[in-house]
Amino acid sequence: MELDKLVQCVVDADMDNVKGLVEEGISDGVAPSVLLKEGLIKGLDIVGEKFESGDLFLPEMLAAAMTMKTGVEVLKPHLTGEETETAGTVVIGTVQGDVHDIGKNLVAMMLEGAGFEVIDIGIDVPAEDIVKAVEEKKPQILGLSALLTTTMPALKTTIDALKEAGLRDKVKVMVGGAPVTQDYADEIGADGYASDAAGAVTLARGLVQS
Amino acid sequence: MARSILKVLTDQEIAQLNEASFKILRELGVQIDDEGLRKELAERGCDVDGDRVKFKADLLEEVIANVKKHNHVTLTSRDGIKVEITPHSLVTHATGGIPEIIDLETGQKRKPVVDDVIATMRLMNQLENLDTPCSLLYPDDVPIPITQVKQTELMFRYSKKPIYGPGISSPGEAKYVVKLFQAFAGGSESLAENPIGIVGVSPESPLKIPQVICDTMKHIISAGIPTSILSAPVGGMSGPLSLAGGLAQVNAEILAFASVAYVINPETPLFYGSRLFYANMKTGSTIMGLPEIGLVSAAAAQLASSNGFLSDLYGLCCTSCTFDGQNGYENAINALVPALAGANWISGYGSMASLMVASYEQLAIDDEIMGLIKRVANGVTVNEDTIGLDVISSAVNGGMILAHPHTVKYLRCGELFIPKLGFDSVWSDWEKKGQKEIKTLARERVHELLKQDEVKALPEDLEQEVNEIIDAAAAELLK
Repeated sequence: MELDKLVQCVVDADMDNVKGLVEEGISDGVAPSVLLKEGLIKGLDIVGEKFESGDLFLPEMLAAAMTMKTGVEVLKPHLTGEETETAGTVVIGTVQGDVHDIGKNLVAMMLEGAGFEVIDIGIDVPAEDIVKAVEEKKPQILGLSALLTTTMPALKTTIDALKEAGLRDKVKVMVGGAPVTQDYADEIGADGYASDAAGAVTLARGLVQS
Repeated sequence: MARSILKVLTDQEIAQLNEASFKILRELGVQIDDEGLRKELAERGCDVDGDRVKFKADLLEEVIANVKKHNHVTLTSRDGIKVEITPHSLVTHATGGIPEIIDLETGQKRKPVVDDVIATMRLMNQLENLDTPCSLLYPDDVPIPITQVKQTELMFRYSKKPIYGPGISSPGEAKYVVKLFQAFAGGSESLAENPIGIVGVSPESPLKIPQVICDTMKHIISAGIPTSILSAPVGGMSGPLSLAGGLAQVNAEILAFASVAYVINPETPLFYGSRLFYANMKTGSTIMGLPEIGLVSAAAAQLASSNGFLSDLYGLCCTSCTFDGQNGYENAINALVPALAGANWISGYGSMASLMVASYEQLAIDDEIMGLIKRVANGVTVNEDTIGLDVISSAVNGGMILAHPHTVKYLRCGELFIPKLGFDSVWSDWEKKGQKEIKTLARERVHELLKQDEVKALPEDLEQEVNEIIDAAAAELLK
């Protein structure tokens, strides 16, 4: 099995063939960790570089990330616990009163592509349900989204609810959405803000390391 | 005559898009969260599959026939200013609810307050090409749960023109918005027959009418307040990236919303509020300066017209964050293209930075842009008198064209556009006048226009009624 084929498969976002190529690698006796690192991850790294340099667009990046994810699902049973370690866990949702999910979904997919485990708790999520999710899932990061000026205050309500539940220092909170700004994020006591999905990934990586 | 000269879709393409929308509604249907409305639609022949309602052509045709009966709307303000919206009109409105503003004095971006809402409303009274003001801003000093109510109050209180009310997304606020409409209309007037303004209500894309929007519709549509159906998918995210796909979806969402409105109150006038827009596909951030916005608005104008709707479309909008060339070309292209395709109502006055930042100066600049566009849309009038053979003949025979009565007549009736803001002379004059850029000229004009606007107090009984509505809204919604 030529690993380059698997790399190219991710670069081309060739969803139809990724499963077959990973299975071929396994049956050819290629180590699962090699298929993961030198095949799937290498492919997504190339895509990431092209995305960073502006040669690829968001849909292409996401399609490649989904292709890699499909490959990883096939590999998972063959990987050791250490090899399946993620970049971190993120609970993500749109705050109460807001039913918009495009931005939130975009960030979730980009984070998954970057190796995070993402738990998407949906849209119009009341503060108490978000607190409950943080309590249960114990993520390193909580991502909160609000698209409307009218629902932005629910970002603060949620952060306040985390404080009341004694969980504020257990999780890093990042916020986003069209009307949200860095100033607003600072004002409500969030740990970070990003203006777009790629920025959210960089932010998440930084927050996990801090 | 220039109106509707631009056809970005052929008749065959319009038919194909309408067929696609009917197919979407028939086969995929629309998620309608309200059980009662689903039942009523089922009684009118729709198939209900869980929370999805699948529409039959018969009902859609009935809705379209009803829409056609309401395609002449005259809005009248308390001051008696009338704005007619008809299949042949081209009127304008401001953007609504922008979260930040550029301070007129410091030039710095900041959160707007009620005083900014009032000042921008007063400025809009004086902008001659702006027909229906909207609360441009989202005031930061008003509690969020009553902002839409407060915006409506401020619009009616300070606008001399009929208003383009806020986008309403909360049933709690919708109830009080209706009360304000009734109070300012004089109580007994029918809001559908003698409207003083309109509001916008948005379905969710793709193909959803959530419970809060169903409940909001029940208040607004039942009261007969003319409503713009603001269908706003983002191409490539909540609708297809291809322009045709986005248009088919918008068309389906608007027809579905109109069907629900028809069930609630068939007398309420509705507008085809396509808000199809796009993102920077490298970052995912939505941006408003792309030329496709003007293009799909033009196509939407044609689609709206094919189904008998009056259209209310994106026009003036830009990605630019400053008063530069990009600001000018993005705004002008996106407003001109739908205007020439027969759009009836064009939005966007006062916005910059993809609708996220407002500006006093931009309001003045946009008024100038719309002046140019309205002139172009008026086209070339061709008749014996305008051809002016007499003038040419008199010149050939030694007469003076410049002083000819024909020249004076057509100058006075607006044959040539005369800028109110932009520079219209030669380089040496520009130097003499201080080499001012558009931003400076616009700022000066804003100050001048604000001085001209006089605020009149409300009649005592209306003042009391309005205050009681606001107090009641605060008491209920700020619990």
